[in-house]
Amino acid sequence: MASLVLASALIWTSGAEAGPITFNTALPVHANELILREQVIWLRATDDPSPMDRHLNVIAVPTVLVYGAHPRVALFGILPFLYKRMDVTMPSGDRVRRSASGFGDLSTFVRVTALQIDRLRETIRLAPFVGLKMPTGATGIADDLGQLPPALQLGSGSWDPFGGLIFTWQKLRWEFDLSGSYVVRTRANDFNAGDEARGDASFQYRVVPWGEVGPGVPSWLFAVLETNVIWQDHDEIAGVRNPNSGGVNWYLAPGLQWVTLRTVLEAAVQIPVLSRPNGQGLGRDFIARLSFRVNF
Amino acid sequence: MISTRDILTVITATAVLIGIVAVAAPALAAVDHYEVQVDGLACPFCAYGLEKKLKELPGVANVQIELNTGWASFDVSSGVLLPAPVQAAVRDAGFTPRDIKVTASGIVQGKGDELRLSIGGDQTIALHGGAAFGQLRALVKEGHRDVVVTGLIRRVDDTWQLTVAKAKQR
Repeated sequence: MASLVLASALIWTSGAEAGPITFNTALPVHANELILREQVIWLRATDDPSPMDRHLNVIAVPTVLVYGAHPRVALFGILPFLYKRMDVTMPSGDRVRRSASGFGDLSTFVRVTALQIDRLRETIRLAPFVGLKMPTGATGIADDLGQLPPALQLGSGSWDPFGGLIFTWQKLRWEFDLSGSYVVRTRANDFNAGDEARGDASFQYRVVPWGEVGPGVPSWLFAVLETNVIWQDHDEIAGVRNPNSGGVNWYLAPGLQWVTLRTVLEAAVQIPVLSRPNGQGLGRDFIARLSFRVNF
Repeated sequence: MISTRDILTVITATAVLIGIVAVAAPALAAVDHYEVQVDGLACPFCAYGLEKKLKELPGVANVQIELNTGWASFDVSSGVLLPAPVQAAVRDAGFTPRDIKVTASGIVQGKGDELRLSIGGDQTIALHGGAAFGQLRALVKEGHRDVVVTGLIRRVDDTWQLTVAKAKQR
């Protein structure tokens, strides 16, 4: 099952400053201030090698709040609203639709700027982060056919710590971000999702205005290209390894980002260059993202 | 019974008194304008935090940020604002303050090379060197101590020291 693929997608929507679209950044959040980010994410996974011919669609609307506790310390909170739907062919040959909707798991984390090199019109930053995904989303959701599979549950039921490191190099013309992270999945309800490691890179190039920056603080349009490599270990059910879980996904994500003094509007589509699920796991089609950020 | 004539007399006398006080009072002394070079500033969305932090400083108005040059400027419409809180505001926004250029007006104290500018309260700025320092010395020598000076300001030991790039009589 594509059990926790979206949990990953949600955690890494956490960047609220200007920066990458599909993961975080090390750019500053000014002290005692708040940034809000709203996203709409659509994940589709229909590449099913099994006779069940599963079609998974997930719409997620995560709300991200970022608070600058100190010029070098930012606190993040992410709460997604989820709609999950799977069409599946039963052994009887009937095609059925199973779904769930509601709030998912809350994630919080703290990011500390460990290295800051500021030059004229340029900054280089390195920031480790640690956090915890909490089991606030519902588990044990059932329909007429019984309990929904983990991929359709709104929460995992588990407390999952995670951490990583982000590097950001920003100039007036372009920005480059690089991130590595790891999520430890813990057991809940006799189910233990596989741990996850990922690496992300993003390059943003200013295309409007193309030449010199005008006076004041003008609005900018960036062309964005990002890549994400995500590895997920096998799940365990009642202590038994599920051979049809986990695997590797590598995405390329072209996108556009419109940045103004107070807002960022952006869109990107994560296209799988490589989708190699273990066993009869569900291969992904794409993840589309539309996002809006506002600075209070 | 108060007549209309009495009221007019009181109003006229009050107006004359205010005029006399205004003429007799010394001109206000202050740092009137700041320009701050902000290192690390490279995107519009990040500039908002800086603008907000600068606007929170007392008496600050007309904040302008130039992404292209990396400089932020603003006027100080009231009160005495020294560079230290300005530097703190830039750091709170997540950036690094570098050079600070000010335009300050006030009464010059001292003589020769030992000049200080009183900018209000007990706050003074040491005036030291710069392209227009000679011009400033000449003004003081001629008895023109009420001046406007512009230049880079920096902390030397416990004193704010301004390198005089421009000087004129106020």
